Amino acid sequence: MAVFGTWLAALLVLCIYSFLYKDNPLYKFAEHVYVGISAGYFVAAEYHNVVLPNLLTPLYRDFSHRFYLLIPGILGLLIFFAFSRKLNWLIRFPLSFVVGIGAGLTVMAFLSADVLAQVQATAIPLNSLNNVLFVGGVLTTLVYFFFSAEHKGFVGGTAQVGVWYLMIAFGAAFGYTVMARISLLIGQMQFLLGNWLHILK
Amino acid sequence: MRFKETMAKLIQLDRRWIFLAMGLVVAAALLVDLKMPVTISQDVRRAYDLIDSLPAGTPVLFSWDYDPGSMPELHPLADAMLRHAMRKDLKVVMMGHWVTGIPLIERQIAGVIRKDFPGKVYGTDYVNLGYKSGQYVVVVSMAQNIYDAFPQDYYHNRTDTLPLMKKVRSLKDVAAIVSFSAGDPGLLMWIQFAWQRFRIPVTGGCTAVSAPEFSAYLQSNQLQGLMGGMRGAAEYEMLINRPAMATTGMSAQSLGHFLIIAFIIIGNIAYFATRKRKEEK
Repeated sequence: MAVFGTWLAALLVLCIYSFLYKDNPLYKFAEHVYVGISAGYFVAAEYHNVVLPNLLTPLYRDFSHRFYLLIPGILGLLIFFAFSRKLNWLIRFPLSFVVGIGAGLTVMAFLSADVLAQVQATAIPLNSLNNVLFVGGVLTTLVYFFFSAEHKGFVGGTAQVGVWYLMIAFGAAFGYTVMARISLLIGQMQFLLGNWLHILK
Repeated sequence: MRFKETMAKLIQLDRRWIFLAMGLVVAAALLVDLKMPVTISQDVRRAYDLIDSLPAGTPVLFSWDYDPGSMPELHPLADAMLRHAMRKDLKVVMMGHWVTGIPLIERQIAGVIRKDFPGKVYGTDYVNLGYKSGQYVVVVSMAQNIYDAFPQDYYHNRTDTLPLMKKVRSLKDVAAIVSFSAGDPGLLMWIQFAWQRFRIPVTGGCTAVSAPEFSAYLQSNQLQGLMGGMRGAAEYEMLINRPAMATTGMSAQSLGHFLIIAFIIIGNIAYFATRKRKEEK
């Protein structure tokens, strides 16, 4: 069974890689198999890992103490009214919960972790070249994104330095992206040459 | 003249030749088992030191926040860090936020714990809580009462009956969180909620694409070390003295990078040579 699985996976990898030559039916087949299996797997996994242990089992075992779980259960079911033309307004109730809780939790988390903590980490003493370059980068890049003054003279020069910082950041991001894509190729090559063909040492 | 004609042909080169060249270089590097040195960066050392400094018996949480698409980058890292935690006799609570990542935890348990640490007992030394949807809501819920978020483990055992989970009643009972992250939900979410709200040290690895994004969190000490992509995994493998898939892959990675650099240089030469020709015309 394991050998069959390896062969199937290897053939599907080759089907996907055939797209590098040109779009073809084998690629389309593999793509559709992937999408279909993912959707089916998602539904089954959600049921067995979330709906069953967090909703149905507690209700069945201890209804008198856990009856309040009916509220999220019913709210969850209301989502399916999205398929009804007459009653699709009912999905507003579960969506309002999702949006409200999401906004409440993430706004605070974002402010704390991404704004306040980062501003605090930027307020550092300028006692080393690294710190000077770091603070300089933050300030000049901010000037580049300040559009209430025309980018001429001192402001223009400072914004230009900000652009250099941005270019370096884009270069680093591109380099990492190249590394990531080659890593994926290496992973598949290790699978094809090792697990499938057994020709790797 | 011949040079300029060659350059003009190069600029028209079918990109499929580039794909073929890259495939051949990577395959050749893997087949000849080329060994290239891997140096340890400060960020990876920091993550290693965090795990290494924990006393035996300390509970830690490992979160598999990736899917099979990111396996080449993150699976070797998860393998190395889980092995390190087992060697240190840490108690590992495992979970994941990505639905398609559920089987990957099982694969790692079979490949690392059951194979190389057969003395480790499920429920006492490690627990697999499995997957739960809800992202940050799950994290906040775990911080209040882990049994509410995960009433059952992956094998349908009641969580509150497992010896390890009797010690870990809340997220605040773990000494560190390690996330193997291919995006969102992942490392960033753990930083925003587990570190920022509850001050639980967070470390882990991410795909190389998202590594630059996390530099800011490293600098601000919100993140205790980071392994970026396959390279980070290779460095961790070196630190635990067990070179494996990532270390082998790094040689192919380096050769791949040389090829890309060569293509960029040749492409630029061809571009400038043909541009001059057009201007002359």
